[in-house]
Amino acid sequence: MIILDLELTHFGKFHRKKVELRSNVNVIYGRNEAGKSTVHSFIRGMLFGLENPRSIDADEVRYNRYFPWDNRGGYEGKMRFQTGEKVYRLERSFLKNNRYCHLYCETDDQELTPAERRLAELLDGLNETNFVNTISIEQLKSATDKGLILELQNFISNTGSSKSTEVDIENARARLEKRRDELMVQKDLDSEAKYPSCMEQLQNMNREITQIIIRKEKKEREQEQLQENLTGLETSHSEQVKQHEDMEIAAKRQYESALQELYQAPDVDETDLDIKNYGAIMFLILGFLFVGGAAAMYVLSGANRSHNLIELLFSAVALGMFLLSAYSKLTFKGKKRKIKQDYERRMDATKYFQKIKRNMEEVQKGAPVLNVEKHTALSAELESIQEQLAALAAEEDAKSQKAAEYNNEQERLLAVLEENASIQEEIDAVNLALEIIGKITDRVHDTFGNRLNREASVLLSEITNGKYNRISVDDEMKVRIHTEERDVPLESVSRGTVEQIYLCIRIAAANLLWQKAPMPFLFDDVFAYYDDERMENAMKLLKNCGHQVIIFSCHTREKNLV
Amino acid sequence: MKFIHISDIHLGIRPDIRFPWSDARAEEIKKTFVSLLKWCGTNQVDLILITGNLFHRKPLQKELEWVNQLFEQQSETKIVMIAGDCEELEEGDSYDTFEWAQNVYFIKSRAISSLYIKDLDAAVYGCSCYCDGLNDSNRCEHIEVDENGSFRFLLLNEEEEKMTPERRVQLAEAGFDYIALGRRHEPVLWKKAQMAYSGSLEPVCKSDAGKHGFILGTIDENEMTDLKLMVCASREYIGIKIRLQPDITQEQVEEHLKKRIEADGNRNIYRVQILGRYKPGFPVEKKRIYQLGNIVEVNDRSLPGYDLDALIQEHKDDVIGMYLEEMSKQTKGTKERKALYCGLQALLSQEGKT
Repeated sequence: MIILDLELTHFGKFHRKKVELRSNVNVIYGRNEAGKSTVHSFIRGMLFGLENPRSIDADEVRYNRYFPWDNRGGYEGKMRFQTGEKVYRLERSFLKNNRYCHLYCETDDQELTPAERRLAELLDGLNETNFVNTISIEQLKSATDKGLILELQNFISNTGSSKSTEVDIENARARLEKRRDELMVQKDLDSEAKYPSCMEQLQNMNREITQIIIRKEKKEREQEQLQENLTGLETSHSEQVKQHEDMEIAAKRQYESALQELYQAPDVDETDLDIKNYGAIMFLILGFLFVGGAAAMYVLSGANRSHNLIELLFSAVALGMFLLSAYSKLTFKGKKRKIKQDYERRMDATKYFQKIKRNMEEVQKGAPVLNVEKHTALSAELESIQEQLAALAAEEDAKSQKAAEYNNEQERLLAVLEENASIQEEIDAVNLALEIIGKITDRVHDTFGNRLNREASVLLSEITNGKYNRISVDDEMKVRIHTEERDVPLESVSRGTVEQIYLCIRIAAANLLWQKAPMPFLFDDVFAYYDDERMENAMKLLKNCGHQVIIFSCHTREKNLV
Repeated sequence: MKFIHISDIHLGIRPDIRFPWSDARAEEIKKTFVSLLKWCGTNQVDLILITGNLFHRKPLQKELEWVNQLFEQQSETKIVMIAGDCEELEEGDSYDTFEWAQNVYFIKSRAISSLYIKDLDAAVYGCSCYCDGLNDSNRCEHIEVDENGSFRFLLLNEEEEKMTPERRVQLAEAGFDYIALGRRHEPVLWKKAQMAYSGSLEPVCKSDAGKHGFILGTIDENEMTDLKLMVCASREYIGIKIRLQPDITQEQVEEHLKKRIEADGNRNIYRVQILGRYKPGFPVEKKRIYQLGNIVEVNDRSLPGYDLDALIQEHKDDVIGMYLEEMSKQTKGTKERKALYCGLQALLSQEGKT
């Protein structure tokens, strides 16, 4: 594209100001305030309008800045340009309430509609962004050199992609990284870190509870065993007591019957065995007395027979006595035998009684005695186990309480984890976006970047007379400058050189982007930092670059050189 | 005979633990349980069936004592319960060894067993869940419903997945007058089969949507004369879906939500799901939605309202076009979709800036 002429019908300070341009290098010279920047802005405004719908605020300023000072009626202009073989005329009114854009093809003598779209086609991918980034070159606005470098790097990232780029990849990356950082902060990492230990504590607590339950069960079994033993002891004792009581009763009953028997036994003792038959002896003596009496009577009364009867009587009595004596003797034997028998019976009864009595006494003596010692020991043991069980139950409850607390905490943490997971999902998404953008940047850089490096290196070498013959843009979009001897970081070269690098990259980018139909370059006071030699080289370079060049300058240097 | 069936009361739970109403909800759950027991007393309910998860976790001694005291006060009502999966019943633990009041029957067997309640002439079958997860409720085909008792009940605590239609038929044909099921938090009543998940008494977590309460049944002469869900929960979790359009603003969303919440009742708790497309660069601010109160979840599934086809067309030559192309090669998932949009937004928000 070659801009043929401009008519600033009403634009800024200009009214019906016409500017004709040549197809190669043009210098628009003027002192400060002469309106060079107005012309520059006019070209930009003609191509893209004054209002970019995407950045309203900045354009409001621009709109006001070039609003005609003294003509309230119009805010418009015309521009003719040539693309390929054809000449076009572009007419625009910038007025807010009367905005229009007309495009005519003068060669074919026809209006092209819709004008904006047809114009965009003619511009071959040139848009306001890459216009500013490539062919419209102003003195770098950045206040500091560091900012300048950043701007350059940013520029490279953009031009690195393709001609219609309007994307600040580094900025997009920075935004995504910022977003990721924001998300990272939202994650409750403390709680997340606490979760495993909380789980572990909960598990431990549950395990401890289980242990307690096992111990409790063991103790309960012991308790049962003890209880059994104790009851065993008690029952066996009471059984023994019962048995003994029965025995005692039986023994008593026996004793009583033996006693009864003893009572019933004849009351004979040993002395009774020595019983004498005094009756028989008495009768015998009496008999003999009566015999003696009868004999005496007979002797005395020998003579006296009157006593015969008495004698007879005595004899009869004596006989009677003898008979009695004999009888007595006879019966006594039987009696004695009986006594003897009785005595034996008594002896037997007594012996038996003695035996039973002894037996009873023995039974009585053998009353079962409770094993107090054992019983007390068992009871004490049982009591202690019961105490232990109570302690275990208390411990279980305390631990359960603790477990419940951990459980609550775990639930809270789970809710946090859930939240964190969803944040992590966002982070992953951002990371993926970053990864993809990185991939694209790399790819873009690989293809376009190499060519850009090559082109820019050639240009820079020309300007610097071969001092810097190679520049490269590395993977991180950092510019490196190579001399024969060493690599120089961008930060350590002069501002002028940085601007030259910037220029070279721009020209290289423009060359790459519009190879077939070169676009005009607009330079607005770009060469202030250039020394004369480099200035000359730059001018040479521009003259031969095949683009239309429009230089706005307040110095005569450029004019003279051209 | 009048009976009620409750389940999954989850005493001791603290719902929505990170929200300000958490403690109040925990109290409410207890309160509803207490007042239900009182209600049973005044309404001459003969039998309460509790199908597990009365407690949210292994109960503490004092919790057991508290509940037992409440049960004891309803001495005219018989209470039969089983342990659920949350309670981690363990042989020998304090839950297992606890001595319940006279009117309380705890079926602790792993396999289905039965008990007979003489006063009611009712036989109740059931089994409990243990912390080791081993129980035997599967073997229901072998349940032999013996002749004892005019009324026969079965209590089970089982996940819903197991309750297939076949199994339900099998259970329904086993000869019970009513089958009480627990574990699922939303109530389901199969009236014909005379079985039901009573659902939790109160909703206990945000996923417990819908009405909650208990099942009330009346059986006369072996015939179920009445079986219905009685709603008694003090709150409800309600899901609200909002479909965004690029011209809807945050304020409009908030206004809409406010109205919905007012209409549905301030007592309820809401889960908000945001769908649709928002104006690029202006996603809904979740924080502000939460600040409306009573909102327990904001699930933002909305996407920026980019016209991807148009963008691909427009940016076919530049980084954005390359990005879109590269993204279209990725597998399609939530993460990828999110990445697509957040990257796109980062790239597009640079447009026009130099």
